[in-house]
Amino acid sequence: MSIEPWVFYAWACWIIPVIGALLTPLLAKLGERMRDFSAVIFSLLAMLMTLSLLPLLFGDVEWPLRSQVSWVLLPGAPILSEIRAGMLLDPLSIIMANVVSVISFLIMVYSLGYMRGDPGLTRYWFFMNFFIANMLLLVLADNLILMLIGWEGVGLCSYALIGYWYRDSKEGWLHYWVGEPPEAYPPSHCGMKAFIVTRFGDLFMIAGALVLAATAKTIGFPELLHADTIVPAEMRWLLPAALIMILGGAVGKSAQLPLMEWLPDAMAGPSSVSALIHAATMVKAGVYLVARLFPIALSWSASVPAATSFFYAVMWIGALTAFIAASQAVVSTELKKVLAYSTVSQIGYMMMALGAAGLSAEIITGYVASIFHLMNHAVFKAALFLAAGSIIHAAGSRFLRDMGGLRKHMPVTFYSTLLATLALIGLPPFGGFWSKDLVLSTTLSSGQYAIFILGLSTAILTAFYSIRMVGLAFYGGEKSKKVHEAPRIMWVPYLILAALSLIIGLVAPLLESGLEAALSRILPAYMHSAYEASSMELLVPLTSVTAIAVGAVPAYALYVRGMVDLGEIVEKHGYMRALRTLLIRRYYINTFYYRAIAYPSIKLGHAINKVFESRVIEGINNAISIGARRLSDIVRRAHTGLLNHYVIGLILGALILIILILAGGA
Amino acid sequence: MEPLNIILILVGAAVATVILDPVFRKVRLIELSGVIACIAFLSTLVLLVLDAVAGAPPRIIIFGPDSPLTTSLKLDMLSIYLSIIFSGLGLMAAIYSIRYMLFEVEHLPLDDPFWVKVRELGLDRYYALLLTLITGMIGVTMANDFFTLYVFWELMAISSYSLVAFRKWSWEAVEAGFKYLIMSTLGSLAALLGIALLYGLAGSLRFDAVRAVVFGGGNMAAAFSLAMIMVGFGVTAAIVPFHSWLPDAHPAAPTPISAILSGVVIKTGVYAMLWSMFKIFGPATYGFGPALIGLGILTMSFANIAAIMQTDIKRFLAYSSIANIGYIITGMGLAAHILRTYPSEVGLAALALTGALLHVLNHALGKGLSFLSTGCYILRVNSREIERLEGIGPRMPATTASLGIGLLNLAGVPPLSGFWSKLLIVSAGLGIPSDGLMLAVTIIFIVNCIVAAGYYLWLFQRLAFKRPMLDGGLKEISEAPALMLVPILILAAACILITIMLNPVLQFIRSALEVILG
Repeated sequence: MSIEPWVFYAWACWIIPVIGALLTPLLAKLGERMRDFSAVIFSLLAMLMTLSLLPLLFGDVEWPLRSQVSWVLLPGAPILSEIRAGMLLDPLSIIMANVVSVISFLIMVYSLGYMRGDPGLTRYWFFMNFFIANMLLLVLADNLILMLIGWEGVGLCSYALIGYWYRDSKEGWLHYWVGEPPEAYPPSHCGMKAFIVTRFGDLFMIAGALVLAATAKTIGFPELLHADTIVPAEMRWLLPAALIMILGGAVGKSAQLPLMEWLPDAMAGPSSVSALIHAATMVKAGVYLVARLFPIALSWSASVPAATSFFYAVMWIGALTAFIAASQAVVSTELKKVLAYSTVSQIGYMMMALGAAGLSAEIITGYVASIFHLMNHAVFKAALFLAAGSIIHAAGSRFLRDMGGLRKHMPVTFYSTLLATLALIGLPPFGGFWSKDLVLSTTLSSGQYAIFILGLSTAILTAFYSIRMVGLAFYGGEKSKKVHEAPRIMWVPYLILAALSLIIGLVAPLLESGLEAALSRILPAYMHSAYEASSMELLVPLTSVTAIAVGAVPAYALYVRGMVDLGEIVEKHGYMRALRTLLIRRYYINTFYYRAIAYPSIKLGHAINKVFESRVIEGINNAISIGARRLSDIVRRAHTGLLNHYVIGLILGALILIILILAGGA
Repeated sequence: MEPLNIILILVGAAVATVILDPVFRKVRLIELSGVIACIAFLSTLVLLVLDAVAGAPPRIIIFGPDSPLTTSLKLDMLSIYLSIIFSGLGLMAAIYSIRYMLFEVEHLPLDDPFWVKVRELGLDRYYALLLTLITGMIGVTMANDFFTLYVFWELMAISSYSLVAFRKWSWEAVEAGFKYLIMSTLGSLAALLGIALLYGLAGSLRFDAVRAVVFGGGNMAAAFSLAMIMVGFGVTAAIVPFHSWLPDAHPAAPTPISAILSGVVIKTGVYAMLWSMFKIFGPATYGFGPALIGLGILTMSFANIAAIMQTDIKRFLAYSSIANIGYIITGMGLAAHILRTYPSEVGLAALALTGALLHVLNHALGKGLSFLSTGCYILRVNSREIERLEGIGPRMPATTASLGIGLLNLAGVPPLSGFWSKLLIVSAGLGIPSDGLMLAVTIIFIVNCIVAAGYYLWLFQRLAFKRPMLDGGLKEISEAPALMLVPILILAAACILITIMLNPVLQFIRSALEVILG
């Protein structure tokens, strides 16, 4: 049997970075440059592998392509008696894998400059490559269990890289910490927080996967598509329930309500990490998972009407998250935190589009909208984070109040940021405009007007906070001296990404139809509906441009031109002060989690330790160990060392055995 | 590949080391006989692995005319499985010995020059004995009649006595060797008595002929001979209460020999018991299941409790070997019990035997690894007292890390294969929930595993993480020599590799079991 090339590419693209990660400590022995460059080269190889998958999209292929190996065999087990590990190639996974690997590579290049000279770099490169590997495994996995391995792998890397500067030094407060008192957290705390919060969602995901394994007897994505037909009618209600549980994992990973609190604090990691993991790739895993489950839920909704609740849940969670996160970005005092809130908000957009698509007649439009927006966002948000890394480095502070007037000193960074920001706002003809337009028209065509209003309001807020961010960072009075442009190895990657966000916009109509053609092939045939030009065609772009103007113009006046000092106005009005505090304190959701869950758990832990652990358990342990020693000493005496005793023992034993065997009968 | 070739390779190499010894001495390279042993073990190992991969059918060769009294050899998957383990560990011990035995020479309490000491120690005969030891073991698994089996058995036994008493200037070794000789001879005599009875019953010693008489329908004489065979082979397998020679003998031998004795020689006893009890006599006819279970439980419980407070690391490992034999015997006992009481549950019995056979492999790897690592400590610190070895880990990281893998494997920590072999036995024990005996046995088994895991981890904690007792006592200690590290690292890698390749290994064991269960 000959192996087709795609099989090799699909497995190699995540195995290569695993090897790269494992080799990092060894290569570090050969020299630092060796280690750094080879780490980048492994990510380059991974990118080449995924790029080699692209031609498949244009060929005449029977999707999905699948390459499986037997992985776990538990003969006779009631569920999951055989798990196969497989790579699943379809347009969705190929597109996603390429988004991941290309951006990863650019960020790895950027890291060469950004992280230069850091003492813990071996650890950094190890986890970066390990992250890329796990992310690609997640994307290409053909079943939920294998996907969970990549899923938890990226979670681990995220934890390790958020807490990268784990010494939590007070001196590095301006650089490495996140938040302001009373919600200022050191990096190691943030890493832990991210890990625990996302793990909470994952619990539901694992439970959901097990429910599917128990009811539908399969966890493979292609098999799940028609799982509803093999589940007995009285158990079918479990299927949508499992979907909602799995959605819990997506909500945690993609930082959606109510599990969004970890992502803003994840900004304690290096900017390259924020760009890669907490903007471009890992946080999209939730969207990707929903997109994977989308055809399944749609297919089930024919026989299990409750399956549509999945789409409602996705849509509402997304829309509310988009709005709430955007409102918090408006008042954020930190550059990267603005971007973090914005990421949460934009992912909410993608979720909203997917949810609405499932409820609309124009399924494919919404589906494409979400994936297209995901691509756009990955590009421009990665550019913004990388540029933010340069800015923070130059300004010597993560706070917007310590920046200002950087425009003249850092022209490349400024223009890159500007381009990416315009794409984020969704100004035509940038990529963001097209995808946002599609998202909004999906909500309209599905008849979800409330969602449309929320989306539009989010667009207004997005325009406002984006312009505010650019204004505060690049305009106004200069706060620090001796600022200079970042080295080339840093600005080239984000300039490429920023330019890309414009180029995508210029070819957007082409790209859109391409995506539509590709993605429509993974949705079951009956879901295709003719894309009909509706009277709303022009309404949506007009309203969205208006929304941008509504948000951007005041922000321009306030922060770029500095016509009015908004701070003074806010101070004058009590209700505005209250609103600002509410937003800065993140609607007190974060506080609630600490007060209601984190602190009580720690207190309970201390109490258990004091009472149960140190008295009861310790006592039992001591009793066991002392008892075992005494018993052992007694038994040891049976060995007298005298041969006579031994032989007597042998003969007695033989006699007893003979009696036993004869009694056992022949 | 014929069974005879393997025997010939090994015996030929043994003879070669003795004949060529004057030449080696002339060129002043005593290591060369070690190299010959390595080559012999490696070629047997390769031949056997090739045979296993090719899935060769069972073969029998008969020497002389086909009469009831002629001897014959067999080669089936079970003998291949065990022979691979035996020759593999033999290879590791031979590689290890090349460097380690020089240490033994250096520590000979004599003022003579090096080459006189070599003669005095008998290093020129060492590899020949090692080769005949393994030949005996492989021969036992390839025997097709009780006569051949007994001959190879004695070849193995005599080689082991000599090797246990190898360090003949030390009283400990001589006494241990003597005890071993007496006890093992008593065992051999018991087995011989059983075999003689069988000859009287069947008029032949060929397995198929004996089986034809005793399998299916037995009498008291057959049952008595079964009991004698169990005692006889049980002494070598070190089943409590026939084990008392082992805690003296295994520590007294040179360390690579300890690894062989503890790792595989006692498994030969297990094989002889498994073969004669399951294949010749048949568990359905003779109710030896409960007796076997009782012996297994007694063996593991006694040895586990006795191991906890040992102060000598080699003695500690020796007790742990007895305990592991207990697990294997219990697995066999469960299978026998199931086959007699629930004849339809052959699959469950196969599960228990699969666990037992997998544990033979796991224990051989883990215990071989542990003894070889211990030898490195002894080489560097010149002490077997655990107290003096405390905190040696950072000084000898590669050795200690490998030992850690071996101990974790022995402790049955998932996902290592040591966990799976115990799990298979436990799951067979829980297979028939209504059977109170099996349930009780399984619970005792699990408790034993927990106790054992406790002391393995305790040992590792003391070696790897504790502060050295003696101030600066371990300062000058450095990592083991490369040639001794190689087999240790290979064994550690094998522990992990077996875990990864568990499915093919289990398939191999299943095909080996087909020989027994049909």
